[in-house]
Amino acid sequence: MGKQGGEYFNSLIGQCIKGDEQSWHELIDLVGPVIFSLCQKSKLSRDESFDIFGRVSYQLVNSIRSLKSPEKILSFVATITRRQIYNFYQNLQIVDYYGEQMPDSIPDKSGSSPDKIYEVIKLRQVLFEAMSNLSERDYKLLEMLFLDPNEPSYKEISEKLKMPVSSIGPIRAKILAKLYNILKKKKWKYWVFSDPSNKTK
Amino acid sequence: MNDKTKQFDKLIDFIKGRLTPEEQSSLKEQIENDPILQKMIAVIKDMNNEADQIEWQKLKKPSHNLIDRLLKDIKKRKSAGNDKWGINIFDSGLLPLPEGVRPAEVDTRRLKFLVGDGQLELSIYPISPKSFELIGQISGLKQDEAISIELKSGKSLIKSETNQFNLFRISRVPAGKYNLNLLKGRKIAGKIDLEL
Repeated sequence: MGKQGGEYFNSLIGQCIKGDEQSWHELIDLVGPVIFSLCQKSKLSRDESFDIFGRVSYQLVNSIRSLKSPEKILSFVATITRRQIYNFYQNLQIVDYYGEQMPDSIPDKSGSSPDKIYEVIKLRQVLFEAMSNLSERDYKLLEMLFLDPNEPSYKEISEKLKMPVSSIGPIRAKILAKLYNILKKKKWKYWVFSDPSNKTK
Repeated sequence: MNDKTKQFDKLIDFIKGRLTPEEQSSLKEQIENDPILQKMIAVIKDMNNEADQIEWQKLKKPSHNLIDRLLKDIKKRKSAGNDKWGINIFDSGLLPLPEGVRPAEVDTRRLKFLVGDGQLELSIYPISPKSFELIGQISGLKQDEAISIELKSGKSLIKSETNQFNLFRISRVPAGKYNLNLLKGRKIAGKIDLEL
């Protein structure tokens, strides 16, 4: 039987603390894209990003006991990644003259300002916090439908989550409605109305 | 399925851009009137695009392999009861080649290990199908005395010394599994497992 609500994350983190490889893979699937995305936005190459990934993962393994919720993990990962990227540039000694001498040849793929990046990461933390309130089955279904770049077919999802193909459609809508209601009740409200471009009604 | 649930059912297709232009614009209108839904979709869409952009699918397996090694090294360090056991935090050999680049026998592999408060970086150059040149540099370790290198595999032992820049070079190492020890005098200052 699937785990309910925050139980899934508590159990995942518990298994990671015990050193279970499969649980670590699941956790890495959650935080890996955040690390690589921050590296890409900081104009690091793929090798350099993988180096940062290794350093952040090492610190995550060492600190997992004190990080007991998904939002704390995401916040920790984002902070450590930014610190490691800063150290990387500092070791190259280009931080001091970053502004004036940044080579033109390095492509800027992000086009996002630091405040925008910060806001996106914060919003993600809130979203993951809300997602962690879903049951294990609901969380995994949502992850596969939205976040898996392979775009698995209903048949693949059905095999992996052991649910009939015919129930995926109705369930996905219910999960999104559930997620929406959690976000409505929780902190999301703060983030919505903190944005000056949004008008309160 | 009630109306509200139907609306949510269309969200996935909206995010993936699979709706007809009419459906897309009708749903867009509804979303624009709901700030919570608007942000929820924006974040999910952003994460969805980003996973494509950073090619997470290609990085997923190397990331899993690296975390497996890291966990093994940390376990070894714990059972050794000290921080001299090196933790492998980078191996270029785990990464897939960039698109359009063919694998070659002459590909160089770079590795990084955290050893105590320091770091050991290795570059491994193939000089024949079954032997390699090994160049390494140690940084961050307390420099009270010179560090020497010991490469052990069964009965075979290869030794090398670091220079003033803490660099060392071993010109030919046969393929195999090794224990690499960093020595300060006769004391072990760091150790790693190495497979060439």
